[in-house]
Amino acid sequence: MSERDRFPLLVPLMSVSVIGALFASFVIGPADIPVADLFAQLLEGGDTPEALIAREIRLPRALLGALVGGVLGLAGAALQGFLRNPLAEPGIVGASAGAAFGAVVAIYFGLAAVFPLALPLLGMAGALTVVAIIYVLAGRDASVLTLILAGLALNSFAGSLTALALNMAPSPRAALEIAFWLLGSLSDRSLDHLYLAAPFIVLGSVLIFANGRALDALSLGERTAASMGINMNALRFRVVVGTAIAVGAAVSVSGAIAFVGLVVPHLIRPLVGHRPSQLLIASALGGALLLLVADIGVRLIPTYQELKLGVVTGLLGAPFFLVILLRTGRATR
Amino acid sequence: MTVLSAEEVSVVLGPGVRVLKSVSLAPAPGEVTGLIGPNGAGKTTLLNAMAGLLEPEQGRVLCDGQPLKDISRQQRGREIAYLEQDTQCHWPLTVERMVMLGRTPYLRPFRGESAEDHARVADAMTQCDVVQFAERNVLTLSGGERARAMLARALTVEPKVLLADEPTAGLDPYHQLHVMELLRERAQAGTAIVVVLHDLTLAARFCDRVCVLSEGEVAADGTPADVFAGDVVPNVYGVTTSTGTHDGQTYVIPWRRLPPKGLSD
Repeated sequence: MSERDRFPLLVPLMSVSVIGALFASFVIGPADIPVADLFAQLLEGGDTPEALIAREIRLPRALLGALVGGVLGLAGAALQGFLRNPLAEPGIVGASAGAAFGAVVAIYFGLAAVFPLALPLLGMAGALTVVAIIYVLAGRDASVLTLILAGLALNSFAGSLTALALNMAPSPRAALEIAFWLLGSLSDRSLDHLYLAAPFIVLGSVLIFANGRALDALSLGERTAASMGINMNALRFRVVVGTAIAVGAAVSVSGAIAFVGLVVPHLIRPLVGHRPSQLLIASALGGALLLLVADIGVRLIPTYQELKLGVVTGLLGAPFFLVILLRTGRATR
Repeated sequence: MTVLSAEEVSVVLGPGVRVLKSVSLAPAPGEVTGLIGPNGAGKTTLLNAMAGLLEPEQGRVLCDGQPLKDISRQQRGREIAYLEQDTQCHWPLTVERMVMLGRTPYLRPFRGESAEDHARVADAMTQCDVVQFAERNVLTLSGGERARAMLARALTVEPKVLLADEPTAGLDPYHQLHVMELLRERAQAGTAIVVVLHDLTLAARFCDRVCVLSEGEVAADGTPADVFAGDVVPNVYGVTTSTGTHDGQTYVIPWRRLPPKGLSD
């Protein structure tokens, strides 16, 4: 097929780039440690400062960057295919807002200060609560519109609860901490964060990846897809629940990271001949690459306070997105 | 032996809205069965029931002698092709890619298309005369080109039954005739075809059999000659018709609206 011939090396090239970015993310940081030392210390274990930096700071940050970016790109691609709407992004199922609220609760009550993993744990709880509510509200036969509206309502409700927590913050310091966390970042995450989020991210991603053929068929509408043997209820369940679990877990450890899930599928779509199935893996790799690069960027840009990752992705993403829109014009529809 | 048959099917859409009342239809292989009737008569609902897209409240749809709902979705998709009215493709796929979607009932996840898949797609595109558009963006096709590409999509599974909902809607006369000829060719190859039509002359000329639906019930079912000879069409549509023959084939022209019949009911 022509579109495969046009970019036959897209996925291999992107995979290599992601590995390169992972490597760069691991070796670049404020502590100036020779690359060879960093790897040697990581493999050796031990408690030298270099080993601790390698194991507890650089490694989780690089791996989380790839995972979180990948899942945002993947979920964005799946939702845009599922809703056949290029404006869809992972946040619309409500799980990210739920995760953010759960995490804010942990900060608000000072749990995060006592027990650092309380933050991602409560974030996960928030995300899963939203998933459960969507399914109870919407039922298994709900139309796509009902699901989205339920997601929207929960998004808004969780957002308001988060705002309430900010409003009622016990101290200016707590308010600042909440506000900063909401901006999204990968700094100061440990391997525990990775272990906590990874299983959910993997589970959600598997649920999403299983839908390639169904998303392709859905290009022709729900009825035609159903007539070709696609189980629409199963598809809806896998996409919505898979996204909620995976993105909820990602947001629980990283905070809200803007625009990756919206922009990446748009950038990649023309490169895969606009096929929803091919977009899944390519968009996951694109998301991982973008987030790793942005996260290296925040470390390299000299500011008196480290730029938050979510700020950078939004700042770069929005203008870039506008340029793409203007350039492609009618092709984006 | 019919492959697919609706037996006394009743469908209720919402409380008190009975769309089909005990409708039976068994399209014969090798024949084109025309499904005609006024707007809201239940034609699309009947096609949906026969395609397994909705479950009748009463009656049953049989496929190969088994209740349709007991057949796996995939098997159903291989035997029954459903051509939705005015199908739109939501992404700018190439025509060939879009036609390949028709092979969905045969495609496995995470595996590429087989040589068989490509061969079927090539056949269907040749049959429907869309080979020259293979690399075109499907969104840039004209109405007539798109109708044929969508038909090619439905034919890639080489279905035993093709359910086509107004495949000629919005097409100019040349393309209407083209689509109907393609359906006839397909029927000659052994497929049972049910086609919803609003053009009575197309129904009279190209169908072996015509089923007239009115308010969810079968008002007439027979050869075009029989169906169009009587008063059924004027009564059902509320129009007078002028019928005649040209080249030995029947044509039917709706002519004048009749006064609303509610008064005598």
